[in-house]
Amino acid sequence: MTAILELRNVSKRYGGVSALSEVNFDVQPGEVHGLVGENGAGKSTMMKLLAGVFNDYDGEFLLRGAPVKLASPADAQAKGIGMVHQELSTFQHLTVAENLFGRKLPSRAGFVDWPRMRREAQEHLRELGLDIDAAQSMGDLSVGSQQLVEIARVIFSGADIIILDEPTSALSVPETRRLFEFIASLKGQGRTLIFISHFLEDVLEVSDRISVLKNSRKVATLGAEQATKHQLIELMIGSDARLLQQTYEQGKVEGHREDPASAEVVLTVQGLSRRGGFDDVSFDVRAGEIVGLFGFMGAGQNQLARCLFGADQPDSGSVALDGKPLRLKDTSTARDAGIAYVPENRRNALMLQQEIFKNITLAHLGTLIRGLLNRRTELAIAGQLSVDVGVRPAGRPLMAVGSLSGGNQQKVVLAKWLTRQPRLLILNEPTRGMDVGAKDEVMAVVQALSAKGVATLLITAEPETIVAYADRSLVMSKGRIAAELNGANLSKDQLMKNA
Amino acid sequence: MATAQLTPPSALISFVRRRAYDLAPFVTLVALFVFFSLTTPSFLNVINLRNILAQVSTLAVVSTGITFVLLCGEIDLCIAAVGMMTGVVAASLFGKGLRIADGVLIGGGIEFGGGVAAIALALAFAIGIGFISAMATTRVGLPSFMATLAAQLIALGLAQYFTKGEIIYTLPPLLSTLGGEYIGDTDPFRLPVIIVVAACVLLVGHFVLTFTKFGRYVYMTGSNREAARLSGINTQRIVGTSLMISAACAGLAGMLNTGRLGSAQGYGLDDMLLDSISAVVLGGTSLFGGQGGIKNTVIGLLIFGILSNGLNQLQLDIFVRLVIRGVILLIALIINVYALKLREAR
Repeated sequence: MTAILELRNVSKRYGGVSALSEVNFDVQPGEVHGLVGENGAGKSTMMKLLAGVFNDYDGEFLLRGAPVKLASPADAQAKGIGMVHQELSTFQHLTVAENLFGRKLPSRAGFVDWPRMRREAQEHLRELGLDIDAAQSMGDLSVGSQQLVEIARVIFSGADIIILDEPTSALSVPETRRLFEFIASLKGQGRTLIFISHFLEDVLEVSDRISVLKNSRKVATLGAEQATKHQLIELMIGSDARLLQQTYEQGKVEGHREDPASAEVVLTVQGLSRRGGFDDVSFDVRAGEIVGLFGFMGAGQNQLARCLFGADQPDSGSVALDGKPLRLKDTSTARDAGIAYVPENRRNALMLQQEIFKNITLAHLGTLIRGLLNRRTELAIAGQLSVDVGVRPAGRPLMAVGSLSGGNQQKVVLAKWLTRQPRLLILNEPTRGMDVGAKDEVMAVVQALSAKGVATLLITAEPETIVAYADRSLVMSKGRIAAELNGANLSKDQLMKNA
Repeated sequence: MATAQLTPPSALISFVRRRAYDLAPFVTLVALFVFFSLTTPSFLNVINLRNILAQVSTLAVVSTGITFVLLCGEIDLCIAAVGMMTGVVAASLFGKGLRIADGVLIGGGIEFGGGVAAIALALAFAIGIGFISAMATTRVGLPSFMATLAAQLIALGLAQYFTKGEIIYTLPPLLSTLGGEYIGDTDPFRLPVIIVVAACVLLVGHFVLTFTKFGRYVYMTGSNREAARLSGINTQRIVGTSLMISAACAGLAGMLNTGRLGSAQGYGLDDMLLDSISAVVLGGTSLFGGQGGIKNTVIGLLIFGILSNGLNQLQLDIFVRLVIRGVILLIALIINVYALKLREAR
């Protein structure tokens, strides 16, 4: 049988960095093909290639046995490849029918033919076995149902190869069940699906075959029947996993502190819930302790962090700092209580066109300076702190933050919270997108704070960071704390297994 | 340290890019000044230049307030209406009284302190309107553009309700002094008091924006609202306070204007809204927040004043003048957006 889609020896480079190297990959008609790999292994590059986002790669791309060069995503769609993104791009205020038809609304004499549109949309949904009212507004549907409509839409526009990117990350268990049933029925109709996901159990359950990417190479394709989760993780992180862990453990000894397990509890979170974000989250963080919080994108960790800094409000549950209950009604309350927050995106943390010193003094300006602003005092404080955290170029507090590199910008964010020593430091993806050197420098600042007794919550989707720096780690999955790992259990594959 | 190795021309280019906001308006101001000095014989003399300052003085007071709002990245459309309302309220309180319903009067000759009480009460009215805009914007979450449009109608309605279309000629003497009198006796050494008042308001505005924590928060909120919030700044309070400052300045300007004209009425100040926003933006304060300040506003006011005055001196058709002013405002807006891009492109 000829493959419906095949890559032969495909390589793609971004500048000097290899994103895909000599990948051979084939998908059979009527198959559900799982695609797994760590962050940065090449999954999203592969997805973009298949969806026609770029076509400057080496090697061959065969579609239904014939070589193709896709000109654009629209071209890919015209050739029957449909893509359903993790972040759904639906029109919330329009009806299901309008979403299905997209820009090609049926018309009569230049006017939209509403009855026909509704009828055809409903018919299409019925054919696919979906019990969804086409006249309903998209925004009234659950995320799971919206996703089914989105899949129906790509099929409606002619796709028989459907790529699903992290389709289960935002779904509850019953919704995931429903999606899997839908996938099975699509497969029964002879359609082909590529299922990309971090959730290995989901991939194992739904796929016929699974391909594993690692460091831009495809390392294996195996039948899902024989494969196990453990085997997949081994393949994804490979033989260097043990080596890496050793390196990190040695690194950890250097920064070793007093045993934090006996220190006093700083943060206590009990039964904290927020609808659509996270559910019944309880944990505590002690003084001088770095507690990791691992979870894949969309597991709810971002919303949890925002609630702990008063930027969003939880629906129920309680937070206490140093044993005293704390109602975080806004961010000023959190700041005054001694909580510092480094958001997941530096654009949300800095005024890029403003000077470094103004960014540093901002958070605690009220207590740093009495009365009128005094440029000299501010410059002295900011200058000292930027030296402490190692901002480069050094001694230029009048420079705009936007002209610093990413790592140095992040140091400025940290310096902002050092104008007064925090009790609790919440770091949300503090090293994302940084090279190793910058990462180490940023984390060295965090470790120094921790040595002074600051309680730290380190939230990240990078397991290496947690293994390297955290004393213990919580794993968050679909809005719940799925596991707590420490000691020998705190390893990359345990983190991934539980997420 | 890349900047240390820059050759002089590229250092200059980088300086121009960084300061395009401040430089473009300044160059425009100098160019207009030179142009009108050369083309119209009556432009360049002490009395005319003093007239220009007097002509933009009311505008300067409103513009000080609107500068706060624009720096926050918001807009205030109720300023002209608030100005009119405040003028009417002050005059009524001082004179015949404020007729709230048939036969119900507030005040009626609050003459205490040369009308100071009436002025203070009227200012409270203005701040009240600002409070409405502030609540609608920050608590309800309406765009300030809509919230202040609604507040504008309320203020306008009150102004006309209180006057019933009449013109009030009895004014608090303090307003007549501040708005219409001179320091010194003989030309060219007479200085209109309103110029001094405007200069004081601008100075206070500059001081607050530059030397107080509140001023810093205004800039930071305008630069990046989310980042300010995630630094523990109560951005709602900053935006709300700015809208109230703007309303207070508008109220003061409206009262000064009655002093200057010698009467208060419920109409006729409509130009003030667009003129003040134009002046602030002409000066280079960003429409998107975070960049600019009172220095820019001063330059913008001077550009605006010289342009209006100079075009008058050229004796152009009044409608042609309007078109030219519109075109110049459009150019300033284009420069405003372009300067932002230059900065971000670095």
